[in-house]
Amino acid sequence: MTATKKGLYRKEPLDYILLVLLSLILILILYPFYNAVLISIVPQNDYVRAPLMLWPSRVESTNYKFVFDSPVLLRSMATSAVMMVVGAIYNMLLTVLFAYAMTRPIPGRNFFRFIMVFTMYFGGGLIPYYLLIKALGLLDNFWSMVLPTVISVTYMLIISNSMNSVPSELTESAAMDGAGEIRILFQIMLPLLLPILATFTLYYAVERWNEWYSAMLFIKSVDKWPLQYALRKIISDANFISTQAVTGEYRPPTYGEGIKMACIVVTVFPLMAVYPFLQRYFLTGLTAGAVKG
Amino acid sequence: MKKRLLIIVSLAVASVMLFSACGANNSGAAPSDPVVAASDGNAAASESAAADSGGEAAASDGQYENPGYGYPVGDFSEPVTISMTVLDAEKTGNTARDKWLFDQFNIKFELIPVTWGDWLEKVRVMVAGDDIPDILWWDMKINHTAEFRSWAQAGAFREIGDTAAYPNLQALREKTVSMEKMLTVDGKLYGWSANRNNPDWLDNAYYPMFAYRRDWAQALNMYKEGDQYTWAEVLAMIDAVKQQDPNGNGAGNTFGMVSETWAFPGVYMSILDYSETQDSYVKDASGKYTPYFTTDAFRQELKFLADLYRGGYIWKDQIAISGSEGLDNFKAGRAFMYLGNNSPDWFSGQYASWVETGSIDSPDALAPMIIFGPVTNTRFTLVQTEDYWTVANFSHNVDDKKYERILQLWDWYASEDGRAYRVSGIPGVDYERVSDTDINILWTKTADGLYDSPYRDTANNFATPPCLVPSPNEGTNMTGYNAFEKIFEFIQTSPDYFVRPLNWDLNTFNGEQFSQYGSFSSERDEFIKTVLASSDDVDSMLDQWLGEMAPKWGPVAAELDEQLK
Repeated sequence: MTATKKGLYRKEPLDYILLVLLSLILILILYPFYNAVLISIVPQNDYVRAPLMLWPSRVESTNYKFVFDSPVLLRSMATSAVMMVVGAIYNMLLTVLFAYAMTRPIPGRNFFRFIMVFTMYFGGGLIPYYLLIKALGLLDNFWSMVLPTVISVTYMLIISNSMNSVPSELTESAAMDGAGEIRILFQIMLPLLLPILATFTLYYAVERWNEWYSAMLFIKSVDKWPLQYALRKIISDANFISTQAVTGEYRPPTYGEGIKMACIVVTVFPLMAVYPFLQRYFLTGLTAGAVKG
Repeated sequence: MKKRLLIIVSLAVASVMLFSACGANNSGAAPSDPVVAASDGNAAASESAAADSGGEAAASDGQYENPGYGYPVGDFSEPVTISMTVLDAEKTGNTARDKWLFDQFNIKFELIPVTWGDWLEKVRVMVAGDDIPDILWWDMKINHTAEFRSWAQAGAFREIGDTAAYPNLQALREKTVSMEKMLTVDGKLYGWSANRNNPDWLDNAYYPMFAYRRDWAQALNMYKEGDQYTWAEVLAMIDAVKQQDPNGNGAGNTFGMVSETWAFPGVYMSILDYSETQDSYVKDASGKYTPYFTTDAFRQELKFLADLYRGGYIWKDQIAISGSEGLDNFKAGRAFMYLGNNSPDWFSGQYASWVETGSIDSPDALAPMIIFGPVTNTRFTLVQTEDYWTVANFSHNVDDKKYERILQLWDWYASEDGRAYRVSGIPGVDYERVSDTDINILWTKTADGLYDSPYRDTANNFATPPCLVPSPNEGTNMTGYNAFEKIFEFIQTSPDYFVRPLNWDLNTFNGEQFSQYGSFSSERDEFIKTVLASSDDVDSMLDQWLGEMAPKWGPVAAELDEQLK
């Protein structure tokens, strides 16, 4: 007890201020998510009368029913899940290979690095991009949503820098023992970079999970829609039904904000479920390279 | 100690930044969806139907004689596959009704999905990439004319030739002005516009209607039979609503007017009666073109709107909202009036959901409203819109076989049998014919007397390109139309109903400057919002803005003077 009071864990007044401040920030960050969940489950009248809620006065499931009744939702979820797994592996593999190459004394290394960095600032334009995908025969093809996003230059540079920080003695001794580049990369280098690899795998996975623009441009079949594009359509439908003409048929009441929030919950939930398992790596990865020595 | 202080200061700064970010204007809001429904509510009465392709005749005893009614006639022995852009592709093509049609015409559709949010962008990419489906169906509006013409001249589309062999299409072609004025390039027709099939008396007016809480007006003893008011009466009602709070919302929690985002501020100004025309460019006293926003009528409209907004009659947040927040507030009983695309069909849909959610006790509580212009106090002014909803083009790759089958299909859609199919479905299954122009729908009805359609929440948008189905029809929920009875009577009989005609020549003019800069409508709308949000003098703000804009519109007006006689 005395040790706690006088030792490392001794609390000073400023600590309490810090605690209060951090708690407020925590609430500021968490509350919008919480409120989004509430908006998705309360009736429209309750939401409009009190858009910021602490507790739902009434609960109903019509918004989720509207979302899950969509004929495209489950299939698009599966498409996005496959795209996330395949895409993240594909992206990470190519990113790691390129990053490793940039750490080796290969001819033209700086030229290739320049070419890569150039793409961070300049693109070919939408129409040439479309024509390229068309020429590759990827229109209306699942791979048009995966293959074009080869690597993120930013992630590649960060991973490459992390590889540079691995003591060269390790790779040199492995080479002296007869290991080739592939073996050095996969058995020496990557195990040392697990936290940063996990971090960028998560980043890539989130990007693939959130993919919709390529689908909008290149996909011509409903059964190949990814989740985000399907949700975009569901929200659009909800707004259309709630604000536009409805003909003789009966339709259940809908309200756009509630359905929008239900879509957000549906989108975010799978990622939130995965995140705790990667959190350990994620925190370490974020701080990798932050300190020297 | 020092370190902790530093942390606290850093966190405080971060918090301030977070708050300021939360408070930032949402200037990058997603584009709002277009606003016209397929089953356009403007069409309020069924015109004489197009000629019947089946050649059936009504029997004298009331029984319809020809058992073959409803079936298309023609040689469809060779199968054809047609690709087409469609809305709601995920809900299309899977019903018994769709399959029946595909079998009849021996046709298969490859549906390429588009959505309201990306329709135009997709079309542009497809055309630029020469990747057009057989039928490119899109939300072309009159301001896309220059773009469309450049595509047609570049050879993107197949010409639609003589249609004399397709009598229903020919009739549509002859009555649809947009085909000649907008879609004909170098004497050749390159697109088909889906005629709205509005009744003649509406004069293709676009009528964004105020919906209002009639029950509140009645409770305040301010209701007028027929739902027709002057602006002075409307403002008095809003004052009373705010003061007496008939819905029990609490002080300061009831708004006057709310609207769809697209309707603010432009539509509020379009229903005023300060001018005979609101064309984007008008001729001044010397006969030279000048933007409408330089006229005195625009100044008066702006002042009127500023008085409404600054006076608290329009919901303050209207200037910044997105999505359906205006309607959400109206539905929740927090607003007295709502301005939107409030057609009779819209009212029919709203009545059902409002009663179900307990927002109102009966449909009588909610009604459409006419407001007479503030100058005459008797004139109800609307704006004429295009005579079509969407446009369809044929890809230059479409061969004769496909071309002919599409025209056969469209001609049938435009026939009385096609109308019956689109209203209900399969002959003998979904409807039975009772006369040359009338059918009896065979679906069961709900307790509310509405049809329990087996095709609910499905779509058949591949049927839309030739024309819209006249409304109301045998399948229409009439509740909304009944609410419009007095208003339609006024429109059809009163000399005070005035429609500002659409200026086809100006709007389809494709001069270089005009095509690039147009009427500076986005700058104008931004300026209007700036005026509304300010408390400065409207005249001086407008004078200053006009001074800034003069160098921009000058070249456009000069081009119009030179080329648009």
